[in-house]
Amino acid sequence: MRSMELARAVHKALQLCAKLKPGENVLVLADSIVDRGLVDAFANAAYALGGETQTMIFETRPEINREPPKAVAAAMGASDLVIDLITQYIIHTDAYLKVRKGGTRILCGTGITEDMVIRLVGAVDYDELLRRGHRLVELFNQAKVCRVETGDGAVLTMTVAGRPQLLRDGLLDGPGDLDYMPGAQLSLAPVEETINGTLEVDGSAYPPVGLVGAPIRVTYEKGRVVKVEGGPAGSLWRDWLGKFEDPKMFCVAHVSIGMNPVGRLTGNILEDERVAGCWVIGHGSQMEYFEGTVGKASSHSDVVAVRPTISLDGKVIVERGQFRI
Amino acid sequence: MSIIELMRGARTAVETCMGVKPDESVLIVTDYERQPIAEAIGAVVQSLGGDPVIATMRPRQRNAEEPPPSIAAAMRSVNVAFLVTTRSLSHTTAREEATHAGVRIASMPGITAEMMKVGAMTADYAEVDRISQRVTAALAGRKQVTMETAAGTRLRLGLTGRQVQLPDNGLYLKPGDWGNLPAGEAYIAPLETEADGVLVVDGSLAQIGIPDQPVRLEFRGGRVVNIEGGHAAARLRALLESLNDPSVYVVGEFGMGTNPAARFVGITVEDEKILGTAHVAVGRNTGFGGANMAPIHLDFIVTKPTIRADDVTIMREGQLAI
Repeated sequence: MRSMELARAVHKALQLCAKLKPGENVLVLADSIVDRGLVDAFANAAYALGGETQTMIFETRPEINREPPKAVAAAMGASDLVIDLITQYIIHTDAYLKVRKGGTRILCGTGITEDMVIRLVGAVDYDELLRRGHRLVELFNQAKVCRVETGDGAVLTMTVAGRPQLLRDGLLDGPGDLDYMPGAQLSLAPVEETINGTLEVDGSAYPPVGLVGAPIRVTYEKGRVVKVEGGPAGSLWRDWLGKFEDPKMFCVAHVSIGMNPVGRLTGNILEDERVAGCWVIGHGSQMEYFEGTVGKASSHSDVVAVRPTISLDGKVIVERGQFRI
Repeated sequence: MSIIELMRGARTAVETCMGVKPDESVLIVTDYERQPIAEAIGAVVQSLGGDPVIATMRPRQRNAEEPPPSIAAAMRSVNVAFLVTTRSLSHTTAREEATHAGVRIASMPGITAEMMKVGAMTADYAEVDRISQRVTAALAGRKQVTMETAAGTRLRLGLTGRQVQLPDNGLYLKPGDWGNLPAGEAYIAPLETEADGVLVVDGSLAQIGIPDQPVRLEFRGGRVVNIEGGHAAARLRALLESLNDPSVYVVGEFGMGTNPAARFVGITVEDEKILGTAHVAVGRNTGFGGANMAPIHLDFIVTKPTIRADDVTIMREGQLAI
């Protein structure tokens, strides 16, 4: 237990990220698998900040995205701010969408642990992170072609012009806003048929693998996975995509760049895909706001390369995993 | 602390008193002083195949203070709600709205671990029901009730036109049923303008407990006009003054305990259930046929009363006479 460090980090999450105001109704929500000490830490800090604070616990569901109990949905809708620590996340449920439309802000920390709150929220300089985030948005806004080089000469290219950039900076800006803890990521869906080449995945692939051990090489043609090479992790991942018998599971849904300066590769995708300077490709289900052509699929899986060299129209922005901007 | 000793009382509450079925949605409202009891009830609901949600809030400061909006909304949305709270939510708009929505509610204000193990919660609820029905029938359709005690109580309450409530018998099995757990009382909202005389509280006072010396409350025209006694009386005066609202002095309830297993513990939810006691409350009664919308509800319990409803003696020095 690092209760003091945790208290400080949780205070920061609520004040800086969630923008909790005194008098607001705050609901800290968790399923039964979440450590109660973590739930209490958020509730305690929310109360200290002047929030009218409640916690709600319900039984952990066997799968993600099951509709929550009615009492939970009703309580979320009647709150100003929800701190969502639910492990089997409900982000894509009707209840969640309705609550957001009703104006409730949600800070989602699905899968987050005490250790992650302390390191990835508590120890992060958000001003610095935001500056870099806005600079990245600006650069992608002006760019036409993105090139990613990984491993020993694997090259992947894609057109990014005309597609919106989504900066998940980890901050809740107003009613109905949703963001994630820890932050942060810049994401977009490149023009699908222009995504061609090979990516060497040296970080993780989840679901179903986690840390890959030996790198996986994934080859894309026109935005689809056409070849997966490399060890047991490679075949596990390819077989998992295939088991849905859904061709969309092999489609690129989005690419992302991680921005958390203290994130490190742990095998927990929530952290891995936010490691500063990493390159992520998500496959399968694609959120509407990306304005892509893939749409909803059976599931979703991310792969992470942690030492990419990323360039936009020839200008290097990340060199072997280090930001150059 | 282990919850093992709470489990049998929790099982009585869930199975016998509320008749929770596996497919029902269940909300357990609690606060930071009552969590183990809520966990025990949740464990029983879960073991029956139910899907409980445990909602925890900060303890309210007074009886009848509303819960936060998220919990009020959650209360309306379920089949069954257990209110495992430090202060009573019985006389709140949140509870009234949930009842109107058909939710079955067990209100358990001030419940302690001890109460789950011994005393009123372990009563034979079939017997509590029999006694409650008898007393309720004796109060129905009356114009007035009078109460006297050896300690000096001489009080008359007007009942004309007021409906006696379904007894708080511990069995809340139909949609919209609600009451306390532990249970056992027959009660009615007297006319807000007709309470006259003296109530000498020798049992206990809500939010205060067992008094250092009996508290003498003088009623005139339905209102408390004078409070005398020792420290308990001073605390009661201060509590009522702090609310700065004339409605808190207005009579709100007349009730009689019907639970033979209940003991004096200084906490209203059990004390007012003791067979052989009666209680008068001031404050909110809109949830059971009254017209006083007050920010609080406070019960005052007297022992061994003699009670007459019109010309019928219901109780003689604490012994049922019907």
